[in-house]
Amino acid sequence: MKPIEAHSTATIKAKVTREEQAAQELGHTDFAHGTRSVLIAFFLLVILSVPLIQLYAALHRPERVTRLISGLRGLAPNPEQIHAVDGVMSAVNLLPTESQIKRVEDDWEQVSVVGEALLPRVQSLLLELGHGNEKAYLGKNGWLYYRSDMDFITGRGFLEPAALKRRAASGHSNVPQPDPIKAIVHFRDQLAARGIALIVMPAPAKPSIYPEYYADGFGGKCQAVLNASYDQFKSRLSKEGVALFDPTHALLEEKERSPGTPLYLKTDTHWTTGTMERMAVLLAANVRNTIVLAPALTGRFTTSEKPISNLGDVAMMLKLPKGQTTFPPETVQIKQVLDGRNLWKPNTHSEVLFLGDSFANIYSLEPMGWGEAAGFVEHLSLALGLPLDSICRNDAGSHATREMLAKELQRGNDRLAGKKVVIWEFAARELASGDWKLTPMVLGEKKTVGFYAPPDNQTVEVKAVVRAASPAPRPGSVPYKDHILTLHLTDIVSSNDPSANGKEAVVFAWSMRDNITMPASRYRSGETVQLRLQAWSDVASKYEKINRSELNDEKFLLADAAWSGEPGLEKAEGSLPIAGLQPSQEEIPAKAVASNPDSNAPIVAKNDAEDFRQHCAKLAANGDAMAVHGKDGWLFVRSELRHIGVGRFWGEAAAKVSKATSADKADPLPAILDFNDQLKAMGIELILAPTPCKALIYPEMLEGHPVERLDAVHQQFINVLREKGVNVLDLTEFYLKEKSKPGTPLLYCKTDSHWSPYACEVTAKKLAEIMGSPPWLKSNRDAFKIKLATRTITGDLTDGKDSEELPIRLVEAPGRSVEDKASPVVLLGDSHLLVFHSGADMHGTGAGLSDQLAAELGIPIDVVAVRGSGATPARVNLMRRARADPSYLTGKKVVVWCFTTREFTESTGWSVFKLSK
Amino acid sequence: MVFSSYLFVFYFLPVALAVYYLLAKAGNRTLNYSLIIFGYVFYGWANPKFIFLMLGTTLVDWFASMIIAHGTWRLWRVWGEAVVALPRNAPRNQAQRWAIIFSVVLNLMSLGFFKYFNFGIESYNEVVAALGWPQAQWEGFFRVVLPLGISFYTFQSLSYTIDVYRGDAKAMKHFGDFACFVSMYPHLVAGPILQFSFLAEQLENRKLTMDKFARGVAMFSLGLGKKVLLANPCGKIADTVFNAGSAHALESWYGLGAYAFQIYFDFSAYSDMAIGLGLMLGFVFAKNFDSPYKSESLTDFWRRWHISLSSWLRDYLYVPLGGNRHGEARTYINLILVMVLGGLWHGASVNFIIWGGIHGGWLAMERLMGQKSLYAGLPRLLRTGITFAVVCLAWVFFRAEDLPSAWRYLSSLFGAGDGPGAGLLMGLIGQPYYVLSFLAAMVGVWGAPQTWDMTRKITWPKVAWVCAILVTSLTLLFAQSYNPFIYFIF
Repeated sequence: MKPIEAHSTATIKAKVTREEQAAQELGHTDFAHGTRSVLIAFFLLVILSVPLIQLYAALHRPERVTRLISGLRGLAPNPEQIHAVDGVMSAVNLLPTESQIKRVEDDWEQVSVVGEALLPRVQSLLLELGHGNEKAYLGKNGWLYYRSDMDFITGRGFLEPAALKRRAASGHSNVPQPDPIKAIVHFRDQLAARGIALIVMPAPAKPSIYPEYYADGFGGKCQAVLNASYDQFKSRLSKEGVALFDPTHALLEEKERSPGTPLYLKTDTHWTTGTMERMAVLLAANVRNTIVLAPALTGRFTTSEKPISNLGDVAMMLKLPKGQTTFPPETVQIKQVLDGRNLWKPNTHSEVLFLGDSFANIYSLEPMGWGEAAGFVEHLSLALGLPLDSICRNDAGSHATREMLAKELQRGNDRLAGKKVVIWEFAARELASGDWKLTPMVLGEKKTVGFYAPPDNQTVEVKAVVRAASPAPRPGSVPYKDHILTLHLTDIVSSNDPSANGKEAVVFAWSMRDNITMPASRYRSGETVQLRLQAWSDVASKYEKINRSELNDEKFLLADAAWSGEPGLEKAEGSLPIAGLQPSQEEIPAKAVASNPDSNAPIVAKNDAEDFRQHCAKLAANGDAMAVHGKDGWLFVRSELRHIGVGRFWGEAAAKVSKATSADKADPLPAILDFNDQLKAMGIELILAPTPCKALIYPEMLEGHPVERLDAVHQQFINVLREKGVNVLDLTEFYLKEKSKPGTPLLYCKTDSHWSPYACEVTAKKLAEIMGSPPWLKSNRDAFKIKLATRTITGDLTDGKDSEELPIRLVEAPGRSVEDKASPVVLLGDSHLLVFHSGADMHGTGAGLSDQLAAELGIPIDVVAVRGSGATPARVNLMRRARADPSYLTGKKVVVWCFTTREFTESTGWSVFKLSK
Repeated sequence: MVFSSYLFVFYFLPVALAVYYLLAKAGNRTLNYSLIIFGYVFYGWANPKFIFLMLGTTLVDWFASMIIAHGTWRLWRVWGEAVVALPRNAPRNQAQRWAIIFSVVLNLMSLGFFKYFNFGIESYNEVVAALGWPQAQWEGFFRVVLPLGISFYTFQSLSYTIDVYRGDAKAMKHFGDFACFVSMYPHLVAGPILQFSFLAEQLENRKLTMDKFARGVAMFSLGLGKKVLLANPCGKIADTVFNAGSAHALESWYGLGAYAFQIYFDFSAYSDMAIGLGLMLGFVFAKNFDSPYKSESLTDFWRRWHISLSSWLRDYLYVPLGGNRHGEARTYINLILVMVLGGLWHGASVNFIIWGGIHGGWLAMERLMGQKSLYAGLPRLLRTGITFAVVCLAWVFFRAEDLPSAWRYLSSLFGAGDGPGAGLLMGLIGQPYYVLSFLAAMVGVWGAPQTWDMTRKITWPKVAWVCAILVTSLTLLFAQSYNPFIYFIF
């Protein structure tokens, strides 16, 4: 070091130390008149303006302050933590961590009113200078690139020793494992030990395929720009015997084949729908070539197209002003994959497990803004013709999904059971930046913990992990507008009920309300959610009639359930960090009514059940709208036609034709027989009265020809049931007879999925006739007044414009209700028990089957009905009542089980379970 | 906490200034206590656990200084007695000698552990692996996290005990005054390294004036502008090129120039802001940069670059090693040794040693030539240009992750770095915003006056300029998340 013996610059005089110079110069500044005050005033004004504006804004929007204060509070230890201090180190550990502090600092910046106002304007200005920001890079012709992708491609080879060393040293509290090959081989070996194959799939970065939209010198070439270590990565994986599906080459081929069709979204980091679907098909072929899987289930999965407009994630990173036009939203046509009539969902029983990141979640995870059920996994499932299990999480594909899998295994949930192959997708950029942890896949013991049910009349706030969710219908695809699904939650942590901690729970929650999908419908296995729960028994009377899907496992059916769905809950969830949980109005299709091009076409062989069955199958397959047009304004439920079309639906055939969520729940016969046996054992008589499909009673309104009885398959089934001792009321036969009488009112609504008030009336009479006058029937018909009237309805199959007028027999029970839980007669079933009875969209009250039956029998009726779910959920409700009140079934004499016959194949399944403990 | 952050400018600073000025009439000691509190909050904001380390260092050095000042470790016997500066060059007793040894050793051990532990273990692992004993490697060793600013406050604290021992300064009787010296937030984490003797008087006796405050505002605002408008974009260019897998020669030179500008504007901006904040609090700190890229030789460069560090190394290392008092050869050795240790002060890496070695060797050569550069006979412009080029080439070792990376970068400067990603690189760093920032940095380095000089006389146009820069910088802050100070990691 050269000693500083004397300062040589012009400003420093010899022999004056720099400290002395500082003291002389800084203490004596020459100010022009007034400048000093102005400078100080301006500075203070500037640094005070932001907090003052923030304070002013806080008076108007207190949530900003709340967030800041709660953030600061989070830095302080709570009293329990302070109480638990038992030494110096534990006291030191009470101090906030770097990440906690960083979070608070970020919060302060994020809620800044000034920042909020300035940032978009500053970004617009920078855009004028051709500058994006630290995350988003501007390309040509409106293309945008993600910085991390660019860093990956232009950066050092990720397998270079220096790069590995640097990344290994980059962590603070946890040391990252930088070598992807080590992690991949480690994972492969663990899977191989269980006989499971691994296929690795790095999703190429956008600039690898499209460098020409960012920099000059790439025009005309169709060559991928890859990280310097990428080839080495591939060859080393090959040497290690790891199967790799690298879409790069296929993407370049596609690019060359269709130069005008972008393979990636211009303003997003991800691929387009077409590219994604094509890659799914290629991967499926690759999987089929290398792994022996079950044969494809032909026809199980279908697609439904829908346009989606959204602004890409990179464009959003620019944080431009709202309404900016520089980067308009991009429109894509997504193909939603449907499993039956439901949107595709992962199936844990699949032979294939897919681990993926945002390349799998785009078009699948609704909060990303590109639609749902149309992502890579869904299309891979479609291409394979098999259900798939998947664990996907945006970002951190290097370790996040493996960790999620490992945690499941540790808890004793063997997610790898029955798997033949695991496909591991991650963004290629992760190779250079990810933490490739060596995650052990160890199957732990399953803890047996009780199912938690909140105490009556209390609201319990919980945070829990979703383990399973029952299917949720697509809005507009089902003839009801509300739906409840069932969630299996584990690892519960409650802020106000410690007894819930660590337990699991079965929770019912809205999946659809008024044809709008609700947050719960998007929950995926492994996701952590915050919910407010109350006892199901608190709300059962209100909600148990709503269509509900159940989880497959019987233990969930038997568990005490909780309810999550108070008003305002969805709003509360929307404010959670999990972005985008607000229901999207855009995705609600108008009430779907498809025209039926073949409806007027004569079928070749008339009056023949088989031909009619085939015709119905054809109509059902032609489109995906809920309703199919018949003649003269008649509308039919598509799933009903499909049901007619499938033919035999019990025994061995069941698994092939049923839409049950698992094969063991596909056959209705065991469930009906078991239910009959259980009731019989309790001295209760079952009358099974499946409501015929409208098309089987009015086939001429569908295909234009008068026909005889066409339900040969159903007749066979009824015979089987009767042979097994089940008392079946064959309503088809009865209705066809009624219909043949001159002047008979319609038995079905023309524009609705349900029967007519007249059908309710005659069915009630028939049931009363069957029941006769047993000694337990303390009839008091005088208690019920009858009044004839007409009622105009707008059916649930219309678009809300068409209406029809129906004659009704109105039953009034002055001073009493037609429903009574203590009644010896139970009406069990689906929405056919609610129509004309429960009001609102069920077309009024007083004229449903329960009303009519009450009038005919002279006693109130116990109604246990669930919309759209007469098969299992209705019985579950009965079971819940029985379990809640052990004396509930003792007074019952007759159970009339009434549901639409399409539920034999179109329901989520026929579970067998015990009614009482 | 970073000066150029939303939290500091809009919340910490207004509160700290408000409290400070509200207490102004209560006297300097009360003000010092308020500075300690805000200093610890400022420091603890990065990682609260490290405040104990700083507190420990402060306590140890203050007690050591008391023992040295009183000549006994039985301090309770002399508690309350007046403290006077020790006579220079007088012999010290055993307690005093042990106290200074204890202070020096403990400070250096603490610094050494936090700065060099990781490097030591990695080097050991590499050596045993090279010797064919991989089983002797320490796999999975824990990594030590470097406490923010440890190099700066340790040197400052150390300078205090040494000054007291030498008799260059009077020990601080009040612990609070000394704690304030160590923890004063304007210079705490990235300097300038303050000599205790210069600040001691100010801690006890300083005046708050409008002049100082206004000059401080100007210094702080211009420093903020240098950081946000010049250093950050240049840093982005440099990072992109230094992290690139391949780069053309032009891009490599562009990246290297950008790094040279980044490190200068970044560090000098921090010093400007520190000096400005110090002035607002009534303190005067010495200049830390003096247009170093205008130097005509490396000797000249080291009179202008990070002056507080070079002064510290001169006073506490070069002079104790013998300086130039033991003949030519020893002087050269001392010079190279001090520069190598100066390199090591920046961090544990072979690259820093090489960087220090280059500077030390070059300085020795220039000393041999009578403190003139090898190219002293060339026109001034060329002398400046060549000096800048030499400094830049040495920066390659300073900036590169490791030695192979440095060689690789050097080779890419001469056209050996082409590769598949190189084509994209110019697209990344050639954006108008970056090019304009680079050109503005060039003007700032060679065509604009220093902040210090510019603020010597405040005129109306300068007020307008300062206000515009302040507002522009703060506005841009909202759009920048890339905001590191290079010297925070040293």
